[in-house]
Amino acid sequence: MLIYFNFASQFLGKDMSSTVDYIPVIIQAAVAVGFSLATVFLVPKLGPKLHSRKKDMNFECGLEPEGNARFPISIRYFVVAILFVLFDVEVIFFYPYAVNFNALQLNGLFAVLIFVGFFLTGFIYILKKGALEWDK
Amino acid sequence: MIALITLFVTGLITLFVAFTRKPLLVGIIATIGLIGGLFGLMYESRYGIRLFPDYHGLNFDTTAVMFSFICIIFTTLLVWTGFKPLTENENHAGDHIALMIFSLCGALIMTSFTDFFMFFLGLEILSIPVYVLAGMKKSDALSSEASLKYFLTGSFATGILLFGIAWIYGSTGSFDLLEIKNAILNSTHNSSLLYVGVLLVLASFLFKIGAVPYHFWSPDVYAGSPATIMGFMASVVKIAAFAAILRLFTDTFDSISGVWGPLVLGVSVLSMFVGNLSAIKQTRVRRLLAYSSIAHVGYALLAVVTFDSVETTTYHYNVYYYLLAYGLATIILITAENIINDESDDIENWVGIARKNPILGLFIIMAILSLAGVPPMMGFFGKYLIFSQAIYDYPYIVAIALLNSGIGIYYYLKLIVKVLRKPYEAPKFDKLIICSLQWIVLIISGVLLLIGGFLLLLF
Repeated sequence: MLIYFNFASQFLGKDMSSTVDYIPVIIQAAVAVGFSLATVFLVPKLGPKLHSRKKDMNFECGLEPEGNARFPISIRYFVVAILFVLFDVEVIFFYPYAVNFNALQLNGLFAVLIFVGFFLTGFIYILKKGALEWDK
Repeated sequence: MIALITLFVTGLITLFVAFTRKPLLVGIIATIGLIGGLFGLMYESRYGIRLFPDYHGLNFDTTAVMFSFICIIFTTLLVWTGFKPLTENENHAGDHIALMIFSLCGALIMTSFTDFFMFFLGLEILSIPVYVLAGMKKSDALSSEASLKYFLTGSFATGILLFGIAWIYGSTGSFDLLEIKNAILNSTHNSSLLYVGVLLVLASFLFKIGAVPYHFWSPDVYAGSPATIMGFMASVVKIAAFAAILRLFTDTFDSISGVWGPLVLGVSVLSMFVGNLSAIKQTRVRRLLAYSSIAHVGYALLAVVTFDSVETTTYHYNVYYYLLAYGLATIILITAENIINDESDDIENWVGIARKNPILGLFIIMAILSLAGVPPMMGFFGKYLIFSQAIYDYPYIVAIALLNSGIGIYYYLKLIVKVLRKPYEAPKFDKLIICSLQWIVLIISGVLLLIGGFLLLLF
């Protein structure tokens, strides 16, 4: 470890964007990958193997599993999930606008109004289409 | 710009008008909007008006107007020819037509972009509605398969494109096409970053147009998706992609054509061979059309490579003219597909069409002859223009292309024989119902295919 620090400190402050600066990152990554791989391959070799019916069941947050997970789910779940993602992403776009609110002046306001207008149109469309009606 | 906004608003209006559940009204509004967009385009280019003078992301120059013009016309024809299948389900009548118009907006952006940012947006706006439309027949498993395949492979290609754009940005420091061009010209030693970027962008383009190493999606997607949408993919999407290729590769990256030129040439030859040889054995019409479209992409790519031997505008015209001829012929065949309206899409169901309805048969034969490149038709002149220009630089490639035209004629003539032959047994379809809109489409495209050759005298 000491050698490594000496090695790294030689290049510190010389050229910030040089490839050598990334050597610590590579070492870090190698250690992370090596540790996880070692765990995966060594643990089954080291530990004793004991099987039982309960032990071989799928692990599901410590609760006992009930029924089969492969039953059909209503398509509405997916529609609502997709719409959620869509409108959630919209909110993310507001954040950079809010930060630069002063700098963007009136042009920025118009741009955001147009953007919100489009989204509102889409929202009205899905409302009229009945995508949010749960019982139909 | 006027055209783009008109079309976008038309798409929105179409979406909301569909809530009245009157498909005819939807069709009328869409048609008015499309023709309005056409006039907007002509008005803007005629009087040189810029709607937003400060904005430079889109530039409707001559090439862009030419390609946009034909994109709008083809979309209009396809909306007409596919009006019945598109509005079959009243609930989604507006959605289908509106998605086609939104996709057309993307096509217009693809023809007129001046920076990579708008180009990427245009490509996405063009592609995403088509992914949806390919799965239009919800109860048909093949249609869903087509949609999913196209979506997965298409988004992968888009990822590669983005990666390429990032490399180009990394080496030239700009998204703007003009600045990139200048950066390439001014630097004495271009970094290999730039070449990698250009080749990645090229790969995703070749995917979009369905050229050979990236063609595996196209037969499945073409055969699975509804006929109208197949026509849309074969005409409008391809024209927009070729417009973007011309703008990017022959206008911006022309000084490094030594890097991408030989590759495109190789892809062109491969496309011709794979397309034509695979088409021979097909037993389904749309699969045959898909493979023939791969071959046609090969011919058109030949025109893209031969740009440096001629003036800039001429090769634009060549590619344009060739794609125009190809698109018109495809639209006629798509109309025939819609008229026959056969789920199994078997080539045997085309037997004896000319005996049932001679005029329809005539149009189909005209379209097939044009695809094959037989003289009175427009397709011949398209091939002639391309080959006569390519022969100075690549005589051997032209020989290969001519050989491929020969192979092509074999399966095209086989199709013609099927259309003309007397059916052995009573055909499945009793009567061919052709609605007036489809007649209009047939007549417009057929007449254009016939007189297309004379249009050359004007230019």
